[in-house]
Amino acid sequence: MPKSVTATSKPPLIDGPEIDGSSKGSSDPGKASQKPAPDISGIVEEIDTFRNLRYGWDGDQALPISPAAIESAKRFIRTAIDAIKEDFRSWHRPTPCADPDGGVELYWEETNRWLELLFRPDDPDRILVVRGEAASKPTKDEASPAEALLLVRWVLDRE
Amino acid sequence: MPEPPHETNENYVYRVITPSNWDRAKGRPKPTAFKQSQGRALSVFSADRQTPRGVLQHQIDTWQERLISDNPSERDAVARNLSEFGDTAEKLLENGFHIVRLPLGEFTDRDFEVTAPEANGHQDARGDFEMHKRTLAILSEVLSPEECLA
Repeated sequence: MPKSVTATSKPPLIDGPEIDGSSKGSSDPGKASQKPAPDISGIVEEIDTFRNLRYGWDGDQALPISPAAIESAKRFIRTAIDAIKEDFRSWHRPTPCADPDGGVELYWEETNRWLELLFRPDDPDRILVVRGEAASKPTKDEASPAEALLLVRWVLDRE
Repeated sequence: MPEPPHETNENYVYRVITPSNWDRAKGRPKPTAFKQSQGRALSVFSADRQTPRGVLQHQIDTWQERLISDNPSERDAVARNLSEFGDTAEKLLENGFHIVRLPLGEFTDRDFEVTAPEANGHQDARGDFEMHKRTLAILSEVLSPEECLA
C-alpha cells in the first residue's frame, strides 16, 4: 500500500533503499550521457489540443479546459523529464486526459504501479494525486509540483 | 442451469464513451470517461433494459432535445456535437464513439450509489469518481461495432 503524500510527508523511495544500475540505470555520468533522450514526442502537443475542447466536449456538460491547467501540466512534464532523465533507464510517456471539470490529468500506468496527477483549473499548482500499487486500494491526496515529481520517480521506478 | 453472468446482460450496465475520452494507444476508455463534470451523476444504462444501439440513440436524442435549451452554451454545444459526430448510431461509431459494458457490481462494490433503472434503462451512479475511475476504465469491456449496432 503506498504511503499517503502530504505537504509534510515524503512519498516512497525518497528515503528508500538505493536502487542499483540494473533497475534504475547507471549513475556513471559517461554512461548516462549515452542514454537516449526521453521520448516526449507528442505529449505537449496533445495537451495543447485540449484548448480546442469547448463546453460539452464529453457529449454532456464538460467544461472547457483551463489554459492555466494546460500550461501547468506542460510545465510539469518538461520539469519531470529534466529531473529524471539522468536517473532512469527509460521514460514512459504518460497519457494526457482532459478532465470534465476543466483540468488536465497526466496518467502513468506501469507494471505494478499507477499514478494520476490532476492539474485543476482553479489551483493548477496544487495537484490532486490518485495512485495505487498492484491490487491495493488506491489513495488520494494533494501534492505540490515538487512532491508530484517524486511520485513520478516512484511510478517509473522498477524495483 | 443458469447461464454464467458474463454471458447474460443481467446486472450489467452500458456506458457511452466519447472520442475525447478514448485512449487509442490502449484501446480502452481513459479514466476521465468515468467522471462527470461538477460532481454530477455518471450516466449508465441497464443492459437488461437497453441495447447498445439504444444507448447511442439516447445520446443523439438528448442532444436534439437540448437544441431548444434556454442555455445558449448548451445549444451551441449540442449543435456542434451533432454536426461533428452525426445523428445516427452508425455515424457516432464511425466518428470515434464506443460503448463499454461493466458489471453493476463494480460500482456498488466501490460504494457507488446507483439509482434504479428508468424505463429506458438509464441509471445515475454517484460515488468517488476520482478514486475509482481508472479501475472502472480498465474493467470496461469494449463492444465491437457489430455488437453496438445489432
